[in-house]
Amino acid sequence: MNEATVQATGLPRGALRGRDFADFFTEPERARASYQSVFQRGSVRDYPLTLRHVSGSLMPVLYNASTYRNAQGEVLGVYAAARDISQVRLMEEQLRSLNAELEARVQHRTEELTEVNQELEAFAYSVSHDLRAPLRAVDGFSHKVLKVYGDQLDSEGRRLLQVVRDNAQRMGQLIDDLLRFSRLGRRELLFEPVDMEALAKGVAAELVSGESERRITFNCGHLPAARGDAALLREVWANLIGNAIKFSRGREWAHISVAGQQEGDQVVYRVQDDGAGFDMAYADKLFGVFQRLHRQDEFEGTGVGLALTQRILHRHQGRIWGEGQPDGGAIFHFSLPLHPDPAAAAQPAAELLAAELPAGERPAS
Amino acid sequence: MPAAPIPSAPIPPEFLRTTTMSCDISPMQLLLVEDNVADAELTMDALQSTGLVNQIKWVKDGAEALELLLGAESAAVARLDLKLVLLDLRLPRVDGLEVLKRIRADERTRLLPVVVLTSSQEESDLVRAYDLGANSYLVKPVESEAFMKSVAELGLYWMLLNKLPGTTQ
Repeated sequence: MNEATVQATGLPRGALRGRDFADFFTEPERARASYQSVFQRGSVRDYPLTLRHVSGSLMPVLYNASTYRNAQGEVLGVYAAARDISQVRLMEEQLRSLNAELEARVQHRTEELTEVNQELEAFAYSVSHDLRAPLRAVDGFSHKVLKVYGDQLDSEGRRLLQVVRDNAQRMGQLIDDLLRFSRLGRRELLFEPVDMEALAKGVAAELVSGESERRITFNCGHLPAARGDAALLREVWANLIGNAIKFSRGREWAHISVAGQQEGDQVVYRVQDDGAGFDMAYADKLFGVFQRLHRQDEFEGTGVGLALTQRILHRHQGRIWGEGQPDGGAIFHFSLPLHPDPAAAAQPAAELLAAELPAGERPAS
Repeated sequence: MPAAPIPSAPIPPEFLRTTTMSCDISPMQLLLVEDNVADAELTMDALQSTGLVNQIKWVKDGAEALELLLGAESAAVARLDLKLVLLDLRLPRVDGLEVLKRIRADERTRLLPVVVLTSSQEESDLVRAYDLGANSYLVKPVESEAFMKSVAELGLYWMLLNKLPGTTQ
């Protein structure tokens, strides 16, 4: 009996003397059993028990004991100690509740994201259906007026109606591009080996053949293969090579070249043209949705192509960056990891969308 | 009400169209299920521009379409000459996919060609429509020339070229 026992049980030394100590534990039978096994096996280590204080409060302890013997090997007595592990238990409990709280918070956020995703889906659906229908009417009926009453209008009247039609069609294009952009975030990616050289050459052949009246030299070096979603990577090439063709329109003889090589654990590709280029001062606007660095009457477009391209590459855990100078051509580089993690590509669309919105428009997290 | 045409004068095509549309049990070759009035007019313009599709019946929701095709009274007569149903997806009361499902589930209409003509480019709508047995799926273009051309070609194909069971002569 020591002072610690008095403290632990709350009983005066006198009251402790002569009592079976096992009775102070919540499970006296188990306590007695541990005491007996000390005699049988010579020791007991970290045997968990709970001590009861007279006030009723409980103290978790680890019971350790060993026998001590005389020179002849006879057991003379038992050294026993119960270590108070209340603090350890408390911390374990706190850790458990913190974990549970974290788990609940993750669950909550996941639910929120799922909800946002569903809202986005509903939004995209209603955009595709509800916004296109009135535009079709604007364009369709303007067309009908031109067709049926065109001869009653003078040329200015016909021109004005044509402006209405051009703008309705442009808005239709903007909506379609925005939808393509939003769909991309929801689509599941397929990771498989992709022959990038065949992809780039195929896309270029198709695009260049559509410009039969222009003189374009297309050069493609050997391109290393990549891992990713072939349909989406084709979209990357189509956007970059398509841009190169579009922005080199002012050249009598345009030169476009594609190259690529492995660099460490990634593959890096490059599309270069000698076209209109861009001012590096606006380089941060290159990949924003609906951001354009050229006037509509210089080069047509909605400003979604590079944003879409960047989004595809981000979903492949890749990167894209561009260099250019006004009237000095442009070079776009993009990189893809050799070993992408398909799980990381399964990011919720809401997160992706937030990442691409300007900081001020991001939803508060 | 439009004035009755002078018997000797040629009947204006607008008048013809109005009469076929307003008469409930007239024979129809094509059933257009479309709630958007502007889309319906443009679709009928395009179909009639081919000169091949004259008997178009236009209904504005899915319930009306089902009543016409599967209802007790006029359905048998109405189905006689029917060669195609042009079906919008988002419709009041009974939506397009449900209409398609019921058409396919009914012995009398299960082989009837149904072409979905919609604004929706949603993959899920496409998959559902084909799953339910749509014969074709056309997204309405915003651009007017493209719209007129698509619908006219579609009309020509299904009215003139497509072969239906029980019509071999």
